[in-house]
Amino acid sequence: MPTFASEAERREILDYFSGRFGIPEKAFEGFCFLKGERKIWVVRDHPELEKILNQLKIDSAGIPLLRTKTSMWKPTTAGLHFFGRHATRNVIDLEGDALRAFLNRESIEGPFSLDPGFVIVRWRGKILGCAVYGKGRLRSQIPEKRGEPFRGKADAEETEGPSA
Amino acid sequence: MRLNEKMAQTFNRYRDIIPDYEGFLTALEQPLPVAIRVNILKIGPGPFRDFMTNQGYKLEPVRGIEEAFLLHGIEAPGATLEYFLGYYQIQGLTSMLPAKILDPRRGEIILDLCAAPGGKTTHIAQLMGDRGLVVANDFKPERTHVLRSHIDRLGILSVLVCCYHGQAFPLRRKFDRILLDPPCSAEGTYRAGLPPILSENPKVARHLVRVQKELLRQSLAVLRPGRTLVYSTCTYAPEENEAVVNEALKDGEAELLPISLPFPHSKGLTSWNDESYQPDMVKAVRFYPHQVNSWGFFIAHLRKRS
Repeated sequence: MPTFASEAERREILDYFSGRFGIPEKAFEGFCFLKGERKIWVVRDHPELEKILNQLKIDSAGIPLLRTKTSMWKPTTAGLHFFGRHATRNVIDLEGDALRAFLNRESIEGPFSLDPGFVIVRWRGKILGCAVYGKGRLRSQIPEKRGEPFRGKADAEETEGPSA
Repeated sequence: MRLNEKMAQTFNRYRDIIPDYEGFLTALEQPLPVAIRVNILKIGPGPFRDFMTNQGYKLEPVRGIEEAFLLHGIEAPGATLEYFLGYYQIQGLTSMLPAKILDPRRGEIILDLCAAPGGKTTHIAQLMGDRGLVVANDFKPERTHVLRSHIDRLGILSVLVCCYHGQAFPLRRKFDRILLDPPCSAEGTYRAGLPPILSENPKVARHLVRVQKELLRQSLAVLRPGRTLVYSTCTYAPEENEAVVNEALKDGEAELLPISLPFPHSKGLTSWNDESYQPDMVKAVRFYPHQVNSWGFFIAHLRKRS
């Protein structure tokens, strides 16, 4: 059951997004961070939120924002879809073959002008999700299930028009 | 595709209550169009239409539901980049009506008691502008995975997911509005070519009725006095519709509210076989596929008395 992040933990989360992606603190105003076992959730703030969390056994709140299983935090696709538009660094735009490779959860050879670590992937200004950059190579972090519809479809239609 | 003989026999008991019964049977032999709901939290209906048209899709607006479109010429609407981006949700037209009738407002606290797979939950959150809280409950944890995947994809931050047995939902929390879309025999989802549905088994049907009545009782218990609840099913069976709602009306705990709709529909029944229901039951609505080319549906809008 998720519990509220402390002030210090909230600060740590805000610093992570600001430091890594340049997302300003302001983007998170009006939202609460909740800690789960291996995740941090972000949920819309509401005057009754705390009371409901005490009254009911809530399994999840809002969307997952970060995976905290290991010492290296990993931003989620859902979290980046929502807040990624505010990012000013470690963002890469993909088109054509590179875009298809990303959706197929494949690696893309660089080098790219990115800091090693997790980066945000965009397509024509729209946030697609997360990739990890290292050793000149970009590795897609699209969740396996969400990438399923695109798997094995190396046709331009899948990404630039009707897929059927 | 011809209608399954067994299903034709099943539906025969509705011959006297479904207007233009032959038209109804013919409609069941037609394919169901792909209906989608624009995620207005990400993109407005106008820009969505322009964007999709530019991408080469064929969209047809739906009169009466601004955020709804029919998507033509596509076999896998859940396998597009636009779906991945959370621009739309695949949802039957009649399935979009319960949330519209519930009319949730910004800041309110709403309960969707049988929420998975989440089409109506996410619609409620969307109609509130993602401002407020929606408690989405479903007693099967594996079903809430699908619900969560829609919440994540559509980018909705106002939904809290829990897994109580609906009949035992905690009474300590009261809600501003409630959607109750309980498990049902799903007769309304039948189209020719599909396997027969649950009402074929009388034992299952009787069990469903008992569960539906218990769920409605519990829903009214956690609804704030004077506030409203929408009861909906995708079945034609009066035992699962009017008879269930009648239980809540006859003891005076709730009253039915009129429903105004953009689609042709039929009124709720005031009698079925040897049973009579409250005269107000005409305020409930029934949808048949020859009236709206979508799922068959029943919807009642109730207010808990103060």
